[in-house]
Amino acid sequence: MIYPVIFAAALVQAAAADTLFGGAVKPDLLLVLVVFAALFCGLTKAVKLGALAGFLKDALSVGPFINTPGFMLCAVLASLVFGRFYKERLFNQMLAVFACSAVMAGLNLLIFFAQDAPVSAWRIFANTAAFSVIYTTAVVPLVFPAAYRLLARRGRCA
Amino acid sequence: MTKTDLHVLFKNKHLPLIFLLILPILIASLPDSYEEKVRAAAAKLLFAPLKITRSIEKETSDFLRPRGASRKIALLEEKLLALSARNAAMEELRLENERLRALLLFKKSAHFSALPVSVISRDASNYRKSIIIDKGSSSGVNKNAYIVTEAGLAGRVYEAAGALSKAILITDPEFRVAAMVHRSRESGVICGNGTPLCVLKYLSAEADVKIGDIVVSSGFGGFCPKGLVIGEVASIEKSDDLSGIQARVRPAVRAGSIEEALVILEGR
Repeated sequence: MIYPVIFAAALVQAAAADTLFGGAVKPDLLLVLVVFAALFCGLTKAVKLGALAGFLKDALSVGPFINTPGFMLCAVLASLVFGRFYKERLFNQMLAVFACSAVMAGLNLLIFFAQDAPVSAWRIFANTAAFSVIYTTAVVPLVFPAAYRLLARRGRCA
Repeated sequence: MTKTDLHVLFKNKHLPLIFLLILPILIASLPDSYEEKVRAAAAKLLFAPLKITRSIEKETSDFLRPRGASRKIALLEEKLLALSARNAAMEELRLENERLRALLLFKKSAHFSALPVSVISRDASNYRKSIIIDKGSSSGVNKNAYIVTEAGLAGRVYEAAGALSKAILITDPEFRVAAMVHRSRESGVICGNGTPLCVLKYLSAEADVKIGDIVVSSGFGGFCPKGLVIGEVASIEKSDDLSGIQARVRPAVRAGSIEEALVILEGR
């Protein structure tokens, strides 16, 4: 059940997120779902989902394949660090998404910094990365309860 | 490794996980051409669902955008809902007609042959500014071909697969094009930097640049036609290495809202 949800989220992220969230920066729904899987579906499942979600995101973007390893890393991080205690608490869920979103922002900034003619990391941080982390964290109260009702509570993580 | 070891390894339930962990390293170590093929194959698989999602998004965008309380009240009344939906559809057609008419006029007046394309998807990531268009190498779209709208230069084709292509927009951090200030002919390079404004780099400290100057493509390098409008100078500042100046340029094309465009095939 969770695999079609990941596919649907990837399509929404690429084709409709600009309209849904009405801005240049949109929340990363795929990352939120990967963190959800890490907290409620187990490490192995989360890493598999992270690989799928990251690959889809890379396929719908340009540049190096950064999201596939990045999402897998986030799945491990969220499961091992944040999945061990109080994972039902909203604050802990938001903290997990915030941390993973910050890791992805850091990875992307590193890629830009390694370019032949590097762009200003500060400008990308101030205009994109900071908002991306905040917006992605902000959708947790909407996405997590819905995903929990749809997937985890009914044992549909598989 | 004995036969028993192999048996244990293949019975190990974590084997797919180990494969997944190695997969990104394998992909990253592929030559660029193979990496592009992997990416193009994945994008091809998503082509049809993306087109469907995009058309649903286009049909329902009028309802998805909140436009104040009065609109919400109006939407509650069934009759008004039907009328406003019909009106919105007609307005959408009128706007599309206007955009296509402007593109057609631009195409007639342009000194290059071009192929009209539609945008089917935008970048899934916040850090890159790219689009997926509905024409690919089977329609004659080549890698590095430039994309324009009636307003000016919009981007460059990054990967061309069979029936679709990916293009980076003018604001993407990887975008570069030779450019000059239209009034004073001062030359530089327009660089995207992931923000809504581009940067005109490599200007000398004495360069004659003013706020409001129009920046156009210079044609240097031979890939991009000369004279395409890029944008106007919004501010001037010292360059990052302090050896000269650079200008922040507001693109003429609103990169985030392109729906139709032209891909430049070749000069006439």
